[in-house]
Amino acid sequence: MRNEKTSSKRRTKLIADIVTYIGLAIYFLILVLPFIIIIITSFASDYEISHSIGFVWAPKFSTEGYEVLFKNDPYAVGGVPSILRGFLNTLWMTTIPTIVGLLVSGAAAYVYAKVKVPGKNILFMIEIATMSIPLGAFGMVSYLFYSAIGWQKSILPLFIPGMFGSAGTIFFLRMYFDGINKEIVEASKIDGVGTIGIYFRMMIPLSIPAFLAQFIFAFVGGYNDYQGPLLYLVGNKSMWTLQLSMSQIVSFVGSEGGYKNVQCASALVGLLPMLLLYCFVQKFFIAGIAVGGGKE
Amino acid sequence: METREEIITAVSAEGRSETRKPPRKKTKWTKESIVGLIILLIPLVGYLIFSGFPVVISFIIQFADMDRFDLDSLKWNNFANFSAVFTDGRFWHSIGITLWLLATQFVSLFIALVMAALLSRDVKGSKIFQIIYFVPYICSTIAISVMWMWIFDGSLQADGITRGGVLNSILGTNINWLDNPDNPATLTWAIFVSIVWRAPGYGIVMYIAAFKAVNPALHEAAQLDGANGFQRFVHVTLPGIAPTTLYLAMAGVTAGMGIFGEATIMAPINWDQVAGRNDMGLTAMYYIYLEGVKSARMPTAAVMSWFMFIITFIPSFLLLRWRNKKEEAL
Repeated sequence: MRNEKTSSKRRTKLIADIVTYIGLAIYFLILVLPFIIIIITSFASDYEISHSIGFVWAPKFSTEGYEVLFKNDPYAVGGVPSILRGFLNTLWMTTIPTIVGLLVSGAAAYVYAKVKVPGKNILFMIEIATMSIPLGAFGMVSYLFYSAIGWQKSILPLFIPGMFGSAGTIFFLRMYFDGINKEIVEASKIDGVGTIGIYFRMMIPLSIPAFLAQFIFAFVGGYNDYQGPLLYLVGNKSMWTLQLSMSQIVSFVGSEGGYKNVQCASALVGLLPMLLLYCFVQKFFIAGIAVGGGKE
Repeated sequence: METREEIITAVSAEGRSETRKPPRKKTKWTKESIVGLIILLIPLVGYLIFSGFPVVISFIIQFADMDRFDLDSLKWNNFANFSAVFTDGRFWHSIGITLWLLATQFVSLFIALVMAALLSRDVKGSKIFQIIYFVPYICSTIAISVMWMWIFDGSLQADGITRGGVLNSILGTNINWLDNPDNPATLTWAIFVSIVWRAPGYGIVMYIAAFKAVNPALHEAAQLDGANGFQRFVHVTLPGIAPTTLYLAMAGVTAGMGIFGEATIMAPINWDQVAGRNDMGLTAMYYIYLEGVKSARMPTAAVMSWFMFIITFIPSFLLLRWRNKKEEAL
């Protein structure tokens, strides 16, 4: 009797496991197939793509798409293909404001967590309030503000605001700092280390994982940003970011008719650095958002 | 990216407990506290300048005429911008497209829930699946749009025959899904698919964390009462993860109302500024971009922005209020 019951239970679990695997595998295929498709097409020749009926699953190997991208790029400046220049621009344009902004946010988080400042709770409430108002709708009309102060054709609108830190990062890092023992801070104070000294010498080294998770999160956002560069940098070819270069190449070859191999190659080249980063520090990608979710 | 919004719900609770604390002793102004205050003010000043000013300016110019981007040329115009926007059929069309694409966020939410439930069964290898499921979320809008443009393509012409596209190849058709004279709506659906393909990764991660936080004692109790796996999911897990669902829905509404990049790539404007055949790719943000930046008509763009802000903000504000009230009642 008992045996029968456990065996039927085992059968139910087996069926559930099979259904689970089928579901996981189907979703896996849905996510992976488009990547495979653009990899295949990026290595096909334009002639073969446009003269075959239907999608070519096994084209003759051709690097034409990548050659156009790196050798015959219509938007190359000084011989540097725009996708490469865009990648380099993206690196410094994203990294510098992200690091500065992170240090500023971290300092504020540290003060909120450990330093006595009259009225800081009110400031924290204001900080939180700024976070809950979604101002995305004003992204386009901000253009007017930046043109009023003469920044509309420069990288400054993408560069400067981020350096003032962000409420989300402050909130996140404050939670982390709250968990750091207060006595460590008090001990350094007695040793005569100032607020800023403690922040740089104690808090940052103790919170490297938290900073890294925030850095990666902000970096992914900056790397993939398209709207900002489109507004402020489109007229300045040498300042194009990676996403802007990709979109310009895609629409250029698209208007020439075809060249799907070039389009797919540029998408892949643009994705590759981010995918590699994800492979190496995948943990931090997920940590950055899961902590916020866990807190809820 | 989302860090900003993901904490909103947590925030209100935090804020309340903060205010309930007994009033602290008067702190003296020391060198330390002055340095601290300056540090605290930096982010707030930045917010005031780079978020506050643009919002204030966009509020003012709603009521005025303006020459291109010249703020000195403001002239009061008797609410003409409002009547222009609200009688503009194209604006309402763009709102319609936006609401249509907003549905992607709820579809993604549902997919995230299902996949997170499957992953939470912790079968062998589910860690690897979880890692892969997050990949689309870190991919750029541009790259993903290119990917799906090729899948939905049907624009290649050679020897007088329409060719190209992966979907056509699978279905044996030769339809240009992105520019379809018989049914222009296929363009909107193509954008729809590309968004749903990308969006669930975030929700999956959030839901898995939420599943882990559901009290296991509740599950055991339900099991003792004879509830099967599905019943326990509906009656224990779903209520347990409701805060996460609420938060994801709110973040989804914000993201959905702002859909822009996908539309500009998959429905690029042609010479007459139409976004895809019959404007079927014209989201509200896309229209605001065309009006405000491309055509330099900032006052009407500001009216549209405020409209979008209000219809985005009010529902989430009310939802939060409602939830906080419910929590207080408990």
